[in-house]
Order: sequence, then C-alpha cells, then structure tokens
Amino acid sequence: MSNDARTDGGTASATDTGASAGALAGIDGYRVLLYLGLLGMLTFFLIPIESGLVTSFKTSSGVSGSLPFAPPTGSTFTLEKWQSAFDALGRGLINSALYAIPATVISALLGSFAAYGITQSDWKQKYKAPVLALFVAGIFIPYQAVLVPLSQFWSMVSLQDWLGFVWALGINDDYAGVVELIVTHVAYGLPICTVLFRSYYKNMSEEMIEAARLDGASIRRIYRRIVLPLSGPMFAVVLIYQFTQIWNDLLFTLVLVQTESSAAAPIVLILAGLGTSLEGQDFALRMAGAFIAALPTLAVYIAFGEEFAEGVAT
Amino acid sequence: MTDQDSRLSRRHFVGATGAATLTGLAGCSGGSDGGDGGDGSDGGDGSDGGDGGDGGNTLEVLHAWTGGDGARAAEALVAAFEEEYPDIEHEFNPIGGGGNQNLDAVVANRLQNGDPPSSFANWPGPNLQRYEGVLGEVGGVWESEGFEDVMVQEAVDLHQYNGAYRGVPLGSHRLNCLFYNTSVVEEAGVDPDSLTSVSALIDALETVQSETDAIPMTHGASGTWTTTQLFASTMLGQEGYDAYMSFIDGSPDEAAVRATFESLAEILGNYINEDASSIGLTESNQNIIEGNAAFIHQGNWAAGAYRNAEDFDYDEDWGFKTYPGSEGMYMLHFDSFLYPSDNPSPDATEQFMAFVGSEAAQVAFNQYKGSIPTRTDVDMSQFGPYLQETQEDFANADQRPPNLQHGLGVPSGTMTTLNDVISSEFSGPYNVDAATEGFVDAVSN
Amino acid sequence: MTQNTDTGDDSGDALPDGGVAEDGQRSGFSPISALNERFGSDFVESSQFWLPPFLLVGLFVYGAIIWNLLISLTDFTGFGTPDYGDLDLEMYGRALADSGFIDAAINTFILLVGFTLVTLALGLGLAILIDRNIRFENTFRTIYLLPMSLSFVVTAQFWAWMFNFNNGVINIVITSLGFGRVDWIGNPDIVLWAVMFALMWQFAGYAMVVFLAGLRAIPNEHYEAAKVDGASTVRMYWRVIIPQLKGSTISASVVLMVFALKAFDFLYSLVGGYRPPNGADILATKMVREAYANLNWAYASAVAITLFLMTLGIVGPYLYYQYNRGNL
Repeated sequence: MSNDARTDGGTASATDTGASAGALAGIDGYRVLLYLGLLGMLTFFLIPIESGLVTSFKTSSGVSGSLPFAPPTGSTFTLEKWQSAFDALGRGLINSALYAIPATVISALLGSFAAYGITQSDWKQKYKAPVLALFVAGIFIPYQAVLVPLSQFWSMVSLQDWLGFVWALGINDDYAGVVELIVTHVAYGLPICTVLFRSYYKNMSEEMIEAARLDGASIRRIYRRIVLPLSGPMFAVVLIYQFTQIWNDLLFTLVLVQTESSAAAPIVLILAGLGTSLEGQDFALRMAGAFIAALPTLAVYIAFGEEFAEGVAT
Repeated sequence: MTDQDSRLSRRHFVGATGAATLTGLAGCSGGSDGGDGGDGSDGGDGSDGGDGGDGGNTLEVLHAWTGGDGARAAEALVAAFEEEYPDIEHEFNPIGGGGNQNLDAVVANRLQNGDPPSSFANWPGPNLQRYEGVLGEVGGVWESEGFEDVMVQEAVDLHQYNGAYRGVPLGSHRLNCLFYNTSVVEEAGVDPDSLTSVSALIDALETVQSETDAIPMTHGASGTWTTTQLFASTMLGQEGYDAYMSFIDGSPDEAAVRATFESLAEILGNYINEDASSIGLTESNQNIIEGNAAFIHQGNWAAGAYRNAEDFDYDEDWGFKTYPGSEGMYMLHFDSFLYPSDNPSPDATEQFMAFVGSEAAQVAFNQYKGSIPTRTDVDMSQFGPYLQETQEDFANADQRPPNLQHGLGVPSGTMTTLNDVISSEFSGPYNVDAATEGFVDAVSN
Repeated sequence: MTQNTDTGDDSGDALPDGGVAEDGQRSGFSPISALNERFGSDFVESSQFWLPPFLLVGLFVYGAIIWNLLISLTDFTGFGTPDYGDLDLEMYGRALADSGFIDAAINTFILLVGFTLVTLALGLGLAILIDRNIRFENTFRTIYLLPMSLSFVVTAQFWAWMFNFNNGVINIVITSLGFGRVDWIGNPDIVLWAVMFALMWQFAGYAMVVFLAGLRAIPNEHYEAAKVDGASTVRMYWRVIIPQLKGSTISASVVLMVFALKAFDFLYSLVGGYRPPNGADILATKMVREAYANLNWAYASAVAITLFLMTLGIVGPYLYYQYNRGNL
C-alpha cells in the first residue's frame, strides 16, 4: 500500500504539491479530467448519504416541498425526527451491542485458536487441507441454506425454558434471543475469522516458534507466549470486520428475535420496520433512524478505516 | 385433550435432548477457553426451570394495531378490560410491521416452538386452517355468555372449525366500499349515487379524467393485497353474488373471472395514479384527503383516516358509496381473537374471550377502529353517523359474502397464491389471460 | 526476545494449567499415538485449538445443511415436526412447476451476473483513478469504501429515498434534464436494475480495494516497459495491466456473487416486509417468505438447497483453483 511514485504521475504530483491557484492553469487536461472523475465519483458515493442527512433534519412539509439534496431552511428545520427516531431505536442500540460485542470477541478468539491449530502445528497437509477447505467454504454459505434447521434447533434448545433463573431476576425472557444470536453469529462468523487469522499466521516468522518447539514448549504455551502477543494487528482487523458484519446483519435477527416489538429487538430489526409500520412513508424519520443505526459502524470505520479495508480485501 | 398432552410431552422430551446438546457444546468451547468451563453447569441449572417460568398466569395478548386509529382502539379495549377485570395480570403486545404480516410470523413461530401466547388477533373462517392442530376450543365461553344468540349468524358459523369454536369476534369491517372526495366528484359533475354498475364506474372515472386534473381512482399497490381486494369487490359488483360465491367455493366460472380482470385492466391501466405501484394504502388514501383524487376502493378502515384528518367531514368532504353493482350486499370481515391450545393462562384467557364478545369491549374498540360490533344488541348511539349507517346496511343486507383477501373466503395458502398471481401477472402490464388462468387454478378444488 | 525466557521456563516443566493433560497425551496412550502417527505428530495436541471451533462450524454450517437437505425431502409444513419417515423429491418437483420459483431463479441469475459485472467495472475504474498517484488518496479511498461499512438495512433506507417517485434525487435529476419520471421501485421491469445499481453503490468500494491491491502488486517495470513502447495510457492498461489482475478479478467476483445471493436484507428493508417489490423477488427472499410467512418449511428448504447449489457452483471451482495454487 506504500505510495510508490510511478511513471508520469510522479512529476505531475510534484507540480501539484507546489501548485497555487494560478499554476493550475498550467496543468495538463489529463490531470484535470482525472480529478473531475474522482470528484464525480465522490459525488456519486456521497449523494445518497448527503440527501439522507439533510432530509433527516426537515419537517414533513420540508421533505415534500424542497429538493431532496437541499439543506433545510429556517422554517423547515427540525430536530424532531431525530428525537423520535432515537426514541424508537434507542433500546435497539443497547440490544444490538449486547450480542454484537460478545459475539465479535468470542468469534475472533475462537478464529485465532482454530487458525493457530491448523497453521502452526505439525500434522499432515493432506488432512489439514479438507479441514481448512471446510472453514473457507463456510464463509460463502448463504444463510438461507441453514435457516430452517437453525430455527428448528433453537426451538428444541429452548433457552427460554433453561434460562428461567435469569428471567426470574426480572429480565424479559425475549433476551433468550440475544443469547441465541451470540451463539449463532459466533458459529457463522468463525470461518471468516479463521481464514483471516490463518493468512496472518502463515506469514508469521517461524523461527521463534521453531526455537520454542525445539525447547519442548507445549502448543498451548507457544500460543500464549508467542503467537497471541503477536496477533494484535490481526485482532484489530478481525474485531472491526466482525463487529461491522454482526451489527449490520438483519436475517438472523429476523429469524431469532422476529419482531421490532420484542423487548430484545436489535436496531436493524426496528429500523427495517420504521418507515412502514407506524409512520407511513415518513422519509425524514427513516433517514434519521438510518443514521442512528449506522453511527456505531461508521464510527468504527472512520477510526479504523485501514484495518477495515484490510479485512474486506482478504 | 390427548392432542394437547402429546404436544406437551413432546416439548419436554425435546427440551431434555436439547439440554444434553447444549451442555455438550458449552463444555467444548469452555475447554478451549481455558477458564470459562463454568458455563456448562449453568446450562444444566437452567433446564430445571423448564415449565414456562413466570409466564404462568399472565394473560398475554398479541395484536397488530400499532398505528393511528388502530392503536387508539386497542388502548380503549385494554382500558375497558382493566375496568371489567382489574385482577387479571395482563400484557397486551402490539406487533407492528407489514399489516398483519409480522404478527402472523411471530404467532406462527411461537406456536411452532410450543410457546403460544394466551390469545392473538386474527381472522376466522378458512383462515383457521393454517392453525390446524394448535387451536383449542372456547365452546364453553360461547355457551356461558350466550354468544350464539347475540352474534350475527355469520360470526357463529365462521368461528367454528372442525366442529368447535376457536375464537371470539370483536368487530366487523366492510369491504365493498367506494369512498370519494365530494368536491372532486362535484367538480367533475359525477353523481356517485348513480353508479350502480362497474361500467358506470368506469364511465365516471373517464369523466373525472377529462373534466378535472385529479386522479380518477387512487390506488396503493406497493403490496398486492389492495389489488386482490379490488378484484373481489369488482367481481361481486359486476358478476353478482352467485358468481363470486362459486369462485371462493372452488368452482369458478372462467368467463366471469376473465370479465372481472378485463374491467380491472381497464381501471388500473387508465385511471389510477402513476406512482401507484410504489405507494401503499396510507399515501393512496392521502390523495382523497388532499383532494388529489376522486375515488378509492378500500375496506372501511379507510374512513378511520378521514376521521383523524382535520376539517374532513363525512357527507361534506368525503362520501361513501357501496361498490358499484354490489348494492344490498355487505362484504364481510371479522377481527377476532383466537384461542391457542396448550394455553399458558387458560382461566384468564377464557375470561378475556368472554370480554371480547361483550358489549363493553365491542363498543370501546369499534367506535375508534371504524368497524361495527358483531353483536346485534348493541346500542349504536355512541358511534358516529357513518358507522351507524354501516350498521344499518349490515343489518338490512340481502347477502353478506365473505371477503377474499382477509381470511374469510379462502385458506391462507390460496390467498398467497392469488397474491403471487397478482404480483407476477397483474401489477402492470396487466395480463388478463395469465391472471385469469392463475386465479382459476388457485381456487379450483 | 521473550522466547528465550519462555523456552527456558519450559524445560523446567512449569505448566500450571493443562500441563497434566498434555503430559498424559505425550507419554502416549496408544490411541493417541496411533492418531498422531496417522495424522501427524501434533494432531492430538493441536486439536484443543482447532477442534472445538471446527465442531461448532461443522454442527452449525455443515450439520445444518445436511439437516436442511433432509427437511427438503419431507412434506413438512405448518406446525409440529417434520416426518422423516417419508422422503421424496416432491418439493423439488413443486419448485420446477412454480412460476414464482422460476422467476426468482432467473432474477437471482440476472442480479448475480449483472451486479458482479458492473461492480467489477466500476471498482476497477476507481482503482485506476486512485492509483494515478493523486493527492488526498486516503480521503478518496475512504469515501469510496464507506458504503461498505453500512448495513443493508441502512442503505435500503437511503435508496428508497433516492428512488422515491415524487421527491427522490434520481427523479429530480432526470426531470431537470427533461425526461419523464421513472417509477424505479414500482415498475417490475426496472426494479431489479435499480436494486443492482444500489448494490453497486454499496460494493464498488470493495472491488476497488481488491483491485488496488492487485495493481500495486504489479512491478513498476511493466508500466515503464509499456511507456517505452509508446503505448497510450488506455492501451497500456488494456493490454498490459488489466490482464495481470486475473487473481484479483476472480476473488472479487466470487465475493460479489456471494453478496448478490445474500441480497435479502436489502430487499426486505426496502419494503419492510417479506414480499419484495414485484419483479425483484430472488431465491433468497422467496426462501425466507416461504418459510417464515407461509410456513412451507420443506418447500423453503428445497429453495434453500437450490440456492446453496448455486453458491457451490461458484465457490467450488474457486476453492479448487485456490487449492491448486497452494493457497489452502
């Protein structure tokens, strides 16, 4: 990813760097086109977000009476939609965090274990390959292919009944759905976590590990003392990627929690119904809701963009 | 009874095997985590509480009235219930989203998981088929409350399935309605009361089109159900009661179905709003309120929105006409509460069922919901003039055919197929041949 | 640095936890050494790391797929439990006779191919633009990739608004250019392309990242050589650079196709219900609707197996390709 200078670009950018407004005229048409293209694409990627943002601050008459990308004026400006969106989605933020954070941490840890066990240990490649292939293929499984058994499974494994002592504490038993979501997301997130860690461990220096092994260190000890401390950067990538995936997923929440009316409803589930159940087509409300639901992943993305890019690119 | 017992024991058996699996699982992951092995034993503890926990006697009722007049009606119902039965611990849960779609999915999953609510709102009639095997009986309530004597005969008939009562009706909407904006039809010079046939309606739509800038007939087709519902009213109006009844009874006359679709294609192809397929009922109805459209076909829940709108009064600003050709008929709809077997709170639920059929409940709910009581002995003075007229129409109707789209006419599987046909063949472009074939196939026995 | 002290400790056999178990394993009960002999010296010891996750994935992913296959052979519908005593292919026959299924399969295929192609093309374009040694590269890249961090549920809200008939940005723009309004979501002939466009917006950044990594792996000399030959920039990319992006293209395509198969979340959120707009039903949405709205469990499972086979058809060759290149 280093910014190596290349062919014609090198000189042009040197000109750029020193360029003042007056010198711009001297730049060749090709660079102008290039930047126009870049800015055009910038508009393309930002306009839905920009339009959503300005709309979320408009009154209903402002929404129908002004251009969708124009900012609200004094009389059409309101914070009311954000307020009602927050009222509707606030509990969803907490519910989503309740399963997204544990599921992210557990799946990253288990993924690291699995990748380590497969990569940095000595057993025959011809047996490793199928194990690994099953992990890799697991990334691509469409969730639809496991949904019916999944709901059968969770109706047999009735957490609602087993966790009776939790509900006795006054916690709504809908939160069984949150526990189900944790287990489910861990299971289906494991393949990608494993593969991400595997690509990292494969390139890890083998000398230290070899040396430790020659001294008779156990596999568990090597993991704890050498591999785990060196896994920090990859944990960042995996945690960020997994958190985004789990926070954003709708399908499992729809199947396991089912309704935005549930006390344990995750934010995506409430948002999916927001425009259509109560409010008709209140686009300002929907936009405000969309931003609230997107805030955590946006914050993570803006803070850790590089790690995120690495996660998706692998 | 034996039915219930075997369900119950299966649930416990399944619970036990499940417990073994989970403990095993927790053990495995606990092992790899090192210190976390304690999880496994927690799983074991939990299985002790397997008898439904604290849910024991709380009355839990699910319904889908989450917005506008529906929510207000539900509140009135709950308030009336608290007044009559102050001692019953209760939990009324509105399940929002997609009309009844979300409620149906939640109910289905809870029934499937052996975790039924005490009662849930749904339609009686053939719709009960989809709950085969999971509904209990409330014949005792019907008998002790004397419902058979005070409910309209259709309610008595349609709440029975396999020879037993499965629920109690709360109110009734009317389906074959045509609403209009008075000033728009006046501007066009159309007299709605003179529209007594579907062809007269089409002529009137043409007049509105040429005389005004308004949309002749507003339609919200982002869901298919509005079109299916329009098909039913149009068939009833154009082909008559017998043709409609043989259609829903499974021996459709193909020519009648085709003629209905031809009229529909003419209406939908020429006289509706251009954004029809991307808007829903709410926005479509808004066109009437704002004076952008002349007519709308809907169930009379549409009138609920008119009552909530400011300065929009019955007879002055909006009017009602029986759907052209179906004069003297009341296309029937019921909102009811059903009784699941394996009930978590049998006693409280039976009391709730008795309440639902009582005058207090039916008055409290229906006056806000824009529907009418299913009891014949209710004093209508608390209802507005529009609902009073509806009640009279109901009492004096020559026929009360069941609706097609809301559970009373056909089982839910057939209804789904009909809507699939509308979706693929009749949501623009309008393919009369394919739609006719699809509808005839769907209902034929 | 630390490994010296580590290894030193270890010879002293100071293993507080787990040491016992491992010693037991090493001193060699015969089944363990037999396993190690067969699979490799660390097989048993390393299994404490990979086996639990493997079992979890095996149970939830592969166990569930097999279970799903079994359910698809029953007649399971409504309430209760499936009857595994009577297995046949009836549900697959029903699928073939169901025009809704055929339409959904065709739509899935169109979405798959169309979405993948346009997204790859746009992603490649973006990667080349970014790679021209521009200023503010990080800013541009961050913004192009930003939609990828959003939930389908969120982007569906944005695009429902963008495509809105009366007030949406797209119709405002095209009417200002003198064209008539288009009913993007409502018109069954258009909606699938509109959905494809929205998905492209969301995933083009992903394709860009993959291509950018590919471009930067190409040695500078290849650019130089093309320059010396006097090739124009366009020609250089077309003839010299793009052919070297085969690996990036393949992996990006596979991931994009899998995303397209999963577009359920987007379509569900667009309308807030199980039935997508007319003309945009795909297998993923049909499967969920049949199962959770209509309770046709066995039929939904059959649709799911079809979807799974489509995925396998894409991913299988890819895995084989990766395996042959020694990447597994």
